[in-house]
Amino acid sequence: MSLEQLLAHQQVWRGFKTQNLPKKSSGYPELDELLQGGFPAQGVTALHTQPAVGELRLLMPQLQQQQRLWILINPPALPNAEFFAQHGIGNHQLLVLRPNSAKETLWATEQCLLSGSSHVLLWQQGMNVAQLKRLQLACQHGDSRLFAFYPPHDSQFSLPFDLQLELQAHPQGLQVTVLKRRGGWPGQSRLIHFTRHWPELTQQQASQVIPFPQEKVG
Amino acid sequence: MFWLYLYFPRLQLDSMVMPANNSDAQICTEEGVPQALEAVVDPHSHQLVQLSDTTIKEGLQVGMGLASAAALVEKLQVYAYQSELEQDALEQLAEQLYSLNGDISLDPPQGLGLRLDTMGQLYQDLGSYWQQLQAQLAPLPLRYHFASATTLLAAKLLARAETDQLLTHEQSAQRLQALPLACCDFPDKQLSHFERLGLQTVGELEALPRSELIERLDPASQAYLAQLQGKLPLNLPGYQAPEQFQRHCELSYEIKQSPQLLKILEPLLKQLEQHLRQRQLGAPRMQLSLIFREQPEQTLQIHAPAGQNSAAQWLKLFALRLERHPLAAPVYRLSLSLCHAQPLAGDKADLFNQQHAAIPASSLVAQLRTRLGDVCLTGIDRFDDLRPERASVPHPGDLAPASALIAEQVLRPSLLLPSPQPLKHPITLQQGPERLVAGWWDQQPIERDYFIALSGDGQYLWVFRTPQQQWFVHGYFS
Repeated sequence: MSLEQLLAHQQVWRGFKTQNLPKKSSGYPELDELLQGGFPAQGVTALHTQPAVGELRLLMPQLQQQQRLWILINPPALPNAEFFAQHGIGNHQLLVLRPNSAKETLWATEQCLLSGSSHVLLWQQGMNVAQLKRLQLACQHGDSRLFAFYPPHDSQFSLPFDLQLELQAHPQGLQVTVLKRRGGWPGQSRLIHFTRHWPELTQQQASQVIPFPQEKVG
Repeated sequence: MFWLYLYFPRLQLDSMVMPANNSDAQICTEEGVPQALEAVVDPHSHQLVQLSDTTIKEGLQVGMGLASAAALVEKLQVYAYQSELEQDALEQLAEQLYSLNGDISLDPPQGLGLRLDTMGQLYQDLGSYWQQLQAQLAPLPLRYHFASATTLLAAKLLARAETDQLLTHEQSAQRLQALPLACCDFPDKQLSHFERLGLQTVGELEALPRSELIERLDPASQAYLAQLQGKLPLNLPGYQAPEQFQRHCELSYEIKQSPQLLKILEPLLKQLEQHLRQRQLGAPRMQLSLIFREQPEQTLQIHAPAGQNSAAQWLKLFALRLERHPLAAPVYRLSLSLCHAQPLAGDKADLFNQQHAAIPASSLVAQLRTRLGDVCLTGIDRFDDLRPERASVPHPGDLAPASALIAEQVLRPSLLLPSPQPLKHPITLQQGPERLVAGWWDQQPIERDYFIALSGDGQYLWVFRTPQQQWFVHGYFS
């Protein structure tokens, strides 16, 4: 069988085709450099992270660019309208869903992505390849994006996400490691500085830290 | 004046929903007998009043007693005659024809009078008018007879005599002259009187001198004759389109599966769409009542807060709802009503990005809400209040109305706990305090010192201390 035949039957995957996948700038120059241009403009991005380390703040420039609904499915707490309003996202763009079962969660996620009028932030564990593929197709159909949050070192590593990142807390911001990406090598890591965006939430001036007295806990 | 009269001899039977044709065919092939042997019986006189085609083929006739009918046809399906059903069907029909003809008189139980002479300006000729009317009537499963004449009563008699022609003035006068008196609604006593006189047709009666007519007819019959000739007006109420949309559907069989139910809802929702489109309205809420034979009635309310008028969208919402709540028992009657309508709010679509926004946000929210239930869905309200839990408030069941964006940059957490939780882990205070003392004006005061705190894992928390030195977590800087 000749090479042309193999190509015609799509049995050979050609890497350079994925080089110019559409990207959206993340708003952080270091991250754009790490991701070779930014987050994928559509598709499923998985973020392995502890809660409350800045995972939503990392995405804020992304969220601001869109005039669509942002649907939060099973978030660990309610979104704070004040915070989002400060960052240019109106409270009428936010919707929280708490479906009763995992099946309904996947259904709702797919509907939201298909509609073309919303993007989704999903906190849900346990997804198989077929389900992920379905969500990716829904993203393509609706030109929408799904950010899925997982605990660190979760067993989702083998799934074919469009982009899979690990976020680790760092005194100056977030340490971002690429676990998997389409059309590129994994393994690179960069420190994203939050000192400019959120100086109060970094520890550059060690002198200002007030130790909390242990006896007052609880 | 010139009238067209539509006469529906089997209105109740035709307007009842029968099992779909294809399932019918299956039964035919399996058992080898035609299945739909249906008849409507007058519950007082026990006589057949309406018969389906198949029963007529079996040899039944209108006016036959129930006992002899049952003796002739073994599998006769019998329904009691209900004039309310016919009245409903007649009003629905009038609503559908109202877009073609502005002057409709309801003649319950089985007739509609359409006044034609006032409609002349809107249509080129009678032929084009009739074409449009037929196009409107053709999809309906109704059998009808019609005739036109100079008076409503004459048109009615000619229609009932199955003339089925659009007659000119002269033709209708001729036909009326030749109409047997037995076809008219004279009292029996009067009819036998005519018979003794040797009068056979309306023409012969009209030919009598006026003085003799007065002598031989009772006052009611005199008035009737005058109405027939157009000398006295026939006062039937003119039809006025109702503000409310309500449809009842009587099923001739019981429905157990939701797909069957959806099939029945589809035409009703199409009528709803027509109703709403003509009024430039959208429906924010629909109510479907399902009536079971043994269980109490069930009412489903379905919301589309932004107002929806497309039948396809409503059908989708009903399908989602029925998927979540399957039918509890077989349904034999249902009614669909529009709770209230509101002006249609257009969805603002992006002109340059149209191919992607396949479903507008409002429809998406309505779908999610219908499928997942009201409690699973929360929007976020924002108010100008210093208390964090009152500045960002859950808005159950729907998207919240828009509030203005905030320019000032006070650092606030991105996620807020529904209620503050006692602090249980060791933390390091990073910044603070920010003292919030508010709410003394509405009996929900707070007095808190807020701090930004760092936990051992590098998590940023929003914690506060009460005057009693108790510590709580209130939010996450996610």
